[in-house]
Amino acid sequence: MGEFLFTLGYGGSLIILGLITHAFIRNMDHSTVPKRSENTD
Amino acid sequence: MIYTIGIAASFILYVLIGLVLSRKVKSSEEYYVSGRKGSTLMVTGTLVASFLSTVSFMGEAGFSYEGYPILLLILVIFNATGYVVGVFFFGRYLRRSKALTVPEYFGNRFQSNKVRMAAAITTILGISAYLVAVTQGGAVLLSEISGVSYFVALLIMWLVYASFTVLSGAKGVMVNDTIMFFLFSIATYISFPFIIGKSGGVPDAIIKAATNPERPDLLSWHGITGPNAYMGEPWEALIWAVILGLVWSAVIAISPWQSSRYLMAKNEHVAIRSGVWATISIITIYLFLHISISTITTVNPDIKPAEKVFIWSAMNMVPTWLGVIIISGIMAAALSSCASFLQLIGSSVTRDIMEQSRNKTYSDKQLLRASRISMIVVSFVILLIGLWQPPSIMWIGYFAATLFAASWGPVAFASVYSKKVTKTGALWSIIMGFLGVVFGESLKKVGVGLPVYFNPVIIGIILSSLALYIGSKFGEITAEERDFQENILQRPIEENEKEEMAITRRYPMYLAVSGILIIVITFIFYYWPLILAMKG
Repeated sequence: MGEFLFTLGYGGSLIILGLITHAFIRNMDHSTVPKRSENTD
Repeated sequence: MIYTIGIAASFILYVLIGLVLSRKVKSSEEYYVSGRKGSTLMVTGTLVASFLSTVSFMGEAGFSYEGYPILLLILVIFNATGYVVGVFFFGRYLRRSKALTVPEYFGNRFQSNKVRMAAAITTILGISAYLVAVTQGGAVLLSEISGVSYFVALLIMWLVYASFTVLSGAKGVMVNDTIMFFLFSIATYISFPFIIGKSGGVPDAIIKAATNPERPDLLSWHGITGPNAYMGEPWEALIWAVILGLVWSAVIAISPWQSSRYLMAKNEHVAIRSGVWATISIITIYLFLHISISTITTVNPDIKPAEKVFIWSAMNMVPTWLGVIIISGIMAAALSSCASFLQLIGSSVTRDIMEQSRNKTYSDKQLLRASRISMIVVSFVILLIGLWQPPSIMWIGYFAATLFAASWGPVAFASVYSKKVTKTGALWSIIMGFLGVVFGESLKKVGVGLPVYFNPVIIGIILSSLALYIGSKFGEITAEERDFQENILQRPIEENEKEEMAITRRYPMYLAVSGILIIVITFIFYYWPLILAMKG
């Protein structure tokens, strides 16, 4: 059981980090919107 | 002889690169942070190369060989998160500060010379200990491969890494680190099929390793446990791996030799992308290396000391040309860490100690010259300590590295996110974290057994956090401190922000796809043979 969890968890950690990175980048994306709209207004 | 020629050729290349790039170093910014022009490839290269050293390819490889490859990989699951966590929670803010050294960032953030000094002194003490350990590891290897005495080997190591670091500073270190990163990555990946093939191929090599009577439980998730083993019970082994993994994650996130690499990034997107690639690289390199190591136990279960297992395989299990790449790769891992460490110590001595204690500001030219001189002096002191102290690769390496998780961890994250931390809290947090680890290690040295969940680093982190909380009850937060914090919390918008963001947006997908590939590789080269072994 532990070995199976490891098999999934080792690569799975990268998938989870992918989700975390996605959330951070979406946040960054949102934070740039007001600045861009300020410039274009 | 052929291995010596390979090592000599790579050494000459590193020194030549240092020589060529030294002509391009015209300012202190180029010397300290490579002009802040680092590309994703370069920053990834220097992140991974300064992290991996003889501790990884010798110390940890030996640990794996003795019975704990999967446990070590469980540790890596947690430790590798440090790059993504580090760049998002600390690294990018550090980069925005435009500091030349990490202690300078702490000093500016808390508007305090004392905080800067405390960070600089811990940098110098901790990294010097690590540098001595890694230099010695490299010298032991070089001495055995080439047949020269340990003294001569240490002298050659010192001459190579000190020369290109002193000459070209961060610029040369970054380029050489990237070459070295490729060298040891290639060595690990290409040796994998050869070592597995020589051990019996897939799935037989893994089946044999899993059913080897000499090392029962070698490929179980917890490794070899029991009264006579290094690990007592499986749950203790798991707690050990999780705790040390998290500690190492903090080391990767905030330690000076990792976080300072983000100061060299061209922009914030490059810093984030490098953090992502470094995570993928570490996860992949460790998986390939430790599955290879586990199968070597079936070919030769008596390699002593176990630290030489990868070197033994390079000389006995793979074609000579690949053996040369592996040996040069391990030497490269040692040298790259040495170069980064020396560069950081030299920078801190000049920029954070000399300049601040004399209360004067050097001109750019003076700073450049003073940095080179202090690097020569520091490297000489390290050489003398290396000659005087008996070699010990894994213990000192682990102690010195994890020191930063305790001493810098709480204050680093608080420096970005807390509006209540004062300079008094920051100062005492750094000091108590450092003393906590030293105290815990001293207890171990005099024979006091500490439970796995009360590792010296944990003692250090608890003391450091307490000192941060209690210390911040004293003193005022100045307007300059608030301004500085507000400044680093504002994301700089790049000139070509839209294009940069479009590239960065792909990175979560890269992580996910790599994750799926790693699961498939782990299944084929570990779980499937293990199931066959259990059925057989």
